[in-house]
Amino acid sequence: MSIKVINEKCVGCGECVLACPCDVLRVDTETNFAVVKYPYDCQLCNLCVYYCPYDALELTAEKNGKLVLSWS
Amino acid sequence: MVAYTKKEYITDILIIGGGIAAFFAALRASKSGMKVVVIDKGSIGRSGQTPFASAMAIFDKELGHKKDEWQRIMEENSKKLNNPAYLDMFMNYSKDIYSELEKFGATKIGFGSVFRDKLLKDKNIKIIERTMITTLFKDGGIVTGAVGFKLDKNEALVVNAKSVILCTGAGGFKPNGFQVSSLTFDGDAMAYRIGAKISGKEFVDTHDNDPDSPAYCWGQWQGMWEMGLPKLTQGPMEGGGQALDLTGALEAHKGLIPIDMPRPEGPPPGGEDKKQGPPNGGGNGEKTGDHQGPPRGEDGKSERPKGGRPDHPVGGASAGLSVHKAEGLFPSDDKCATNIKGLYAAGDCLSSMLVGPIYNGVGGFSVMGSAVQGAVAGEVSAKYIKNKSLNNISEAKITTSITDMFKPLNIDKGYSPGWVEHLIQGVLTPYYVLYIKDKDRLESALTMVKFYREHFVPKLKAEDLHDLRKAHEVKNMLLNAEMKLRSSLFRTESRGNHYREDYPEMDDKNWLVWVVISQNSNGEMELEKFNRNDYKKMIKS
Repeated sequence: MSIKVINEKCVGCGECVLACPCDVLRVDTETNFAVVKYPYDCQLCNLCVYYCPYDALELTAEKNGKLVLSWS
Repeated sequence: MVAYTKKEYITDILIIGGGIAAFFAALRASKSGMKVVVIDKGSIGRSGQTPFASAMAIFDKELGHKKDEWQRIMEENSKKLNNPAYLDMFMNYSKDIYSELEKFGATKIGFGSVFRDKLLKDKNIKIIERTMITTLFKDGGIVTGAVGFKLDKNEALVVNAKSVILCTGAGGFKPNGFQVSSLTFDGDAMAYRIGAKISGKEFVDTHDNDPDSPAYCWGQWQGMWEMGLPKLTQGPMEGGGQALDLTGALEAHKGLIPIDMPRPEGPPPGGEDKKQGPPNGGGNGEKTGDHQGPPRGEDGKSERPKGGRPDHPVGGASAGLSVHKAEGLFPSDDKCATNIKGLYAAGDCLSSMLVGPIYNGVGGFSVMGSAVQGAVAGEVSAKYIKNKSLNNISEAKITTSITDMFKPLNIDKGYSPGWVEHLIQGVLTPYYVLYIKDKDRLESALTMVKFYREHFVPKLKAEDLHDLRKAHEVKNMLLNAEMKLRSSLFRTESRGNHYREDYPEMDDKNWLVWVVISQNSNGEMELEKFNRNDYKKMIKS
């Protein structure tokens, strides 16, 4: 997966949610971990990784795009 | 009908956007004693292109820079289509702006949080984040405010203001399936809908990327966050107008060479030719072990993500974006005003034509241009509203706008905004539409765009608030697609980053003009010429 939250390090502070310009991340209110809720909108820019105080996010270069089918 | 709460704000100046233009606009307005509200879809300092800026050009007489020389070179490079008044503004402000940034510690790495903290601490400034503004209001020719929605709860936001400054950046389409980013021409679209004039839409730029990991934005940069915002003192390069090099593309287009196209001409950033690329002032890119930037947790981190240029870049990664400072609201003067009273624009959403229809062979005009224009817009907006009273927005207008805004959440059946986004990408991004242009292909693309506008847009269905944001972004992208296609059709010549296969030559006799778009009384898009040399008439005495 191209963007991942490391739950062991995440404290649910929400800095990543705030830093992301594309609204990819949200904090799950039950687990209190950040989650990659909208991975297809992630532009792999690393802002979340950069602004996370706990190094709880990882990003790699590959990405799967959403398949768009159904024309008829 | 989705239930929502409503929050209303009254302020002197509403700034839409959270990048460097908004940063300076807010600071300058606050300094003049005005109350400011700054609203961004994401968060301050991590907005638009600002976090990815690499260097700032400054004009400094003490370094031997001469105004008339910069003007001459810029005019030549830009094929006589730049706006000298905005270069003059740049030269007047850039040195002080850079000094201010140095004072704030924002020229070091991680400057996004510096911007945010500075605005948070200012008593005159209120920041509202993770909120998308969708509609501007106008009454009797004067801007009165805006409405938007929160991404995290069903809440509408109404801001009643004496003046509005758009710092909303530009936008691009990207190839099919690519993530679009946060820049979707929102400011241009909202302003156009209330009667603002728009320009510069026919000049297109592109970026390349790595074919092995094409979606990897971070991989395209040179570790910019480690560099911060260093100074560039070179100035515009003699003969350095960096045209979108279509040589390879044209040959490929005519079937003569394989599609694997070479990069544009010019010294590679960071290459031996030191004129472009690494800064020759300020930070010199030396890595220290001690990173300054966002707060660290217990563990601390020694490694930051490494950027760098791809080994085998291919073109067309981002497409449909204009040259920096070419597209956006058409200025009505030389100080960021638009044709709508009280509405100002700064940065990439202002068609300042600072470097014209083409890149001028030097980095650093883009982000510094935005900073300069933001500062000026903040100052003039503050001056404009002195002794002006607030014009109310009618309740009826507010209610209608909010209903329209939430409509995609409320319709039963419809089309996914993500799907329509892919449709737009499919039509606009191929090189033979906006890069190697031709009347038939432009009109063909326009036919599709009109169909999408009429058929799909009224039936966009959003699953949630994230999707609602996408629905509005798609609407704005589509409107801009139409502007780009129509402008390209209108300009029957080639110049700078506008190339027409059917009109491949520059035509100074007929086309030393800016193409200005506006909405007529029937709601149709109209285009007209504005003589570039009439920029002199725009200059405030």
